[in-house]
Amino acid sequence: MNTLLKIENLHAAVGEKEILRGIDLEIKAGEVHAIMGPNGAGKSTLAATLAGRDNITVTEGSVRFEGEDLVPLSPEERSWKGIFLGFQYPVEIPGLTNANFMKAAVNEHRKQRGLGPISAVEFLRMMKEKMALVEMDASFSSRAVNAGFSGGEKKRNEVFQMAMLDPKLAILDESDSGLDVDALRIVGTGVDKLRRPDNATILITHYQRLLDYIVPDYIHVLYKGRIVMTGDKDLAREIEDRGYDWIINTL
Amino acid sequence: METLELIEGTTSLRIEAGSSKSWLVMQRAGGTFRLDIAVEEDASLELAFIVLGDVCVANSLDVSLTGKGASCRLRGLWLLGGAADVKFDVRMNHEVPACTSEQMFKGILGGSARSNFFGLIKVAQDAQKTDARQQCHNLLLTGEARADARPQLEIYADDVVCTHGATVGRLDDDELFYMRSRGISLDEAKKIQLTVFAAAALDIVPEDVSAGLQGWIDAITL
Repeated sequence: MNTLLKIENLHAAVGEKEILRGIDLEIKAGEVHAIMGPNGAGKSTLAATLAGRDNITVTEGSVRFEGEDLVPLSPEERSWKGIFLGFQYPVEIPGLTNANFMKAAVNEHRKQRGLGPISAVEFLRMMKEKMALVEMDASFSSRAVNAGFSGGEKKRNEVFQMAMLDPKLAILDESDSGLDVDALRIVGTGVDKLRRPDNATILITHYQRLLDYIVPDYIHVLYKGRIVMTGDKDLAREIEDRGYDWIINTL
Repeated sequence: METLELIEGTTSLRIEAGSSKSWLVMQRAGGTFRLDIAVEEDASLELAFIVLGDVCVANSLDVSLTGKGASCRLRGLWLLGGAADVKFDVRMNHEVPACTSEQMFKGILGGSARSNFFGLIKVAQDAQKTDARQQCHNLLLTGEARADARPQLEIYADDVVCTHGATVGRLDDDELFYMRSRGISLDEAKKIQLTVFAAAALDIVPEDVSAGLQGWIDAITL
């Protein structure tokens, strides 16, 4: 299987503070990787680094996506190449409807592939299909982006946007936090349905419960900016039972 | 909505009882303008200002709600670049009971442009059941641009609803990153943010007029 993402000895800082301190990670098409770890381990920083957040500086190491150096690319260029970040705290944009937001995004993606703007009919069909995936009702498309959304609606919107943009690599940053059981089921099954042999997913999570819906191939434990343990799906259950201390204490 | 051409100096207008007027003032050239308007019983006035480009404009606007049930909606949008200098001095006088006024002013400033907004809502002692609202919000696109907004309330009646708000801010980095992470280019994300920001001041303006402003927004973004 072909390698989508290859991270080698990645060091990254927010301001002067080094958060990622030598990460190695390889992700192939068709795989789902879960990244777990205590608060402050650097999980969200890793996600934001991959998406190109500009307050993060890569100080050492490399990140390659399909063989290409990702570090100098802007967030939009990364999106065009097929990287998607599901935000832990989705941003509210009052005054911009979900439909107009997605139309702008889809059309920019099309432009990069040399295509003209999407037709109204095709766009509506696409919206309807992807909204059904996350059980959004018809009013969703004319509501402003995340404005006044519940926690669950915001996370479902992230999965909806992921479905609309059909990324090769989705990085979902705590898509399960703050969800009730129904929203968790919708998010979990939604992401699982988007799983294909030619794409890959990184799930950042604190809990086993999301992994009941999307069974990962690998689980990595991040601690103080490094991956300190890698295991299979059973590792999540062990962490749920025993916490992180038994891992940290062996370091 | 009709276009109202202002001439320099003072213009006095009266909205007769029971009638309604809707005017758009487009300002692309400089000048000092004063507009005194009386809105009579059950009359309604909609008035929108759009100020564009590198201009020096001083607008004084004095609206008196002189008859019961009079209403006024004011809108103002300034899209400024270069060394533009725009002043708005707005006085909304609620003289009698049961009148409503609603004001929304938005400014987008690039270059070394300046804007200065002063807005007074004055509610007379017997103007009970007044509903008066005023908002003025500004976005600065450069370090050299500057906006001042001074809202003021003078209320002598006790049974009224009066609100006001004023802000001066910059483009929102979190919003920009969110849009860019979905593949919307930085320039396009900025344009979207400015368009959305301006929209609240354009709600009473015909669609062809607001669509015509897109070019100005695009130009100011780059």
